[in-house]
Amino acid sequence: MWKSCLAVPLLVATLLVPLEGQACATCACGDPTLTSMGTEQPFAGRLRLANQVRAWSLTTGQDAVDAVSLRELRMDLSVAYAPLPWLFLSATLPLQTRSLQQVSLARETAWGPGDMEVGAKVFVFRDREFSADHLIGVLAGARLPTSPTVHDADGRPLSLDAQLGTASLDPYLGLSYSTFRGDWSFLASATGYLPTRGREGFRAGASLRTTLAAQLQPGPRWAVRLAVDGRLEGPGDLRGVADPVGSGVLAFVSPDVLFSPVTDVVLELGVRVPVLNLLRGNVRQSPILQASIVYDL
Amino acid sequence: MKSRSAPVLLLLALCACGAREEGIRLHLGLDFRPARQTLAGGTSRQFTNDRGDRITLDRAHVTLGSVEIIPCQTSSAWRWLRALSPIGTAQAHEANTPRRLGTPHVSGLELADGEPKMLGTLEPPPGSYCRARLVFAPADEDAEGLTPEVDMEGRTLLLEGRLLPASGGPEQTFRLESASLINAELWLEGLALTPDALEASRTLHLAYDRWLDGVEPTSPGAAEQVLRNVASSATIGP
Repeated sequence: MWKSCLAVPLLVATLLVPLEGQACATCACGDPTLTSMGTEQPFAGRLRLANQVRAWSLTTGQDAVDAVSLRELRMDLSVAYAPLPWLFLSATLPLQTRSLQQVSLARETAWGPGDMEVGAKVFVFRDREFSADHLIGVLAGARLPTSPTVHDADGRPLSLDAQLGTASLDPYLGLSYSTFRGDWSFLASATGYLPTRGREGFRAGASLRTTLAAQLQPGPRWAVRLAVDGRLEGPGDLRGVADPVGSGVLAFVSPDVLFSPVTDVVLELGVRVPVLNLLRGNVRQSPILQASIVYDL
Repeated sequence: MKSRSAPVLLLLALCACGAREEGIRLHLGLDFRPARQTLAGGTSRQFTNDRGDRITLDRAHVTLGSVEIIPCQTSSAWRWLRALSPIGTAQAHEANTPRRLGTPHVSGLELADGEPKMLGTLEPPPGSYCRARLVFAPADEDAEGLTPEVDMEGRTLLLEGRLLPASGGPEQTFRLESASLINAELWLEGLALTPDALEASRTLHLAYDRWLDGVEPTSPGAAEQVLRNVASSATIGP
């Protein structure tokens, strides 16, 4: 059952990888910097596809007492298109497999689509039209309640933590600044989420996510990137009853390697290592492993 | 071919599926099981205490505040000392945890002798469990088993009945109430809960015919002595 479930997204992923490109994206924007999805320079007609795979786990509670372990493997299929030189539209559909294990060895597993995210990035400032060195963008969008309620074989819904999303409409708003200086590039961004109530009356806490990143590109084919990612999470609530577990501050150090095997294709391998954990409720976040492929059409 | 199969595969990818595997479960129940000969009639019970007094219990309710099972490996001198202590240390309505049922249950002699009442199911981590810790505590408003007829909120124990002294004399009526806490620790005989033995059941037995042993029901402090007897009358079995 699970093997067949996992085979499907892999087949879909192969169909989403284009076979040949039509243009050189770095030529069109005038900047050779290798960029991950969401950090690119815009130009009218730019179309990017990405497939990112992430693996992580989270444990709440005391081992051998009341620990609950959540593990997730997810694949985010993304598309971004710039209809105008100052506007990037994007959509991301996560396909996830999630496993929730209680201290009693009871286990729930789920597979399926998560909550889709759609957004727009409006570039409100660029220092010049072609090959800009400074870009300021405003991000706006929302996570959509696209994750279906997952049931077990007897038709009982899985617990909230085992579900693949909150099934709520979660708008977000953010600001980003990018600068490109020869072999170096830098990124700073902050995005705030304001979730609404979703499945079973649960509302995730408001959150703020920040990134500070520096990238060095010694050659045209590869680059290294180091970032500090921060998350400030507010307390969620279940039907009005506050749930502070998991709220607080979490910061990661995030080294990445970017590699371009062929023109218009960027591979990225990285890890998000939690270095500061001030979350409430004895929550331990594992490092997040991630790999992605980005393709410019 | 690829263009035809793509929508089908995409639709399949959007289907969600889930599975659930049960883990370790320990079902807990409670019954009233006399240790000696008794006479039952409806909700009343007749029996003789250790002093030979003839007792008729017309009404008896007791609140079990929590049941916690304790792993063998965490045994400590402190826990054993606490086991010996008659003084309760828990608060009413403790939190539920994988090893503890924290919801108070009010039980009474409406149950037939030996008829178990389900208290709940624990989902503890694997291991060997040596003891069960019971806390008798006052019922709060969320206690299971509260009804308009069973007004036990704020009470741990309520007994009403009559006593015919062995030494002769007239029958005495009594009513005993307590809102105190008291613990009892029971030996679980190394109950093993492992991936190979995921499910087990245990029933707590309360021997109500021992509750009035050594008690003069009309004397001061009788209710607290009865509560101690309630705790000491508890046993556990499969």
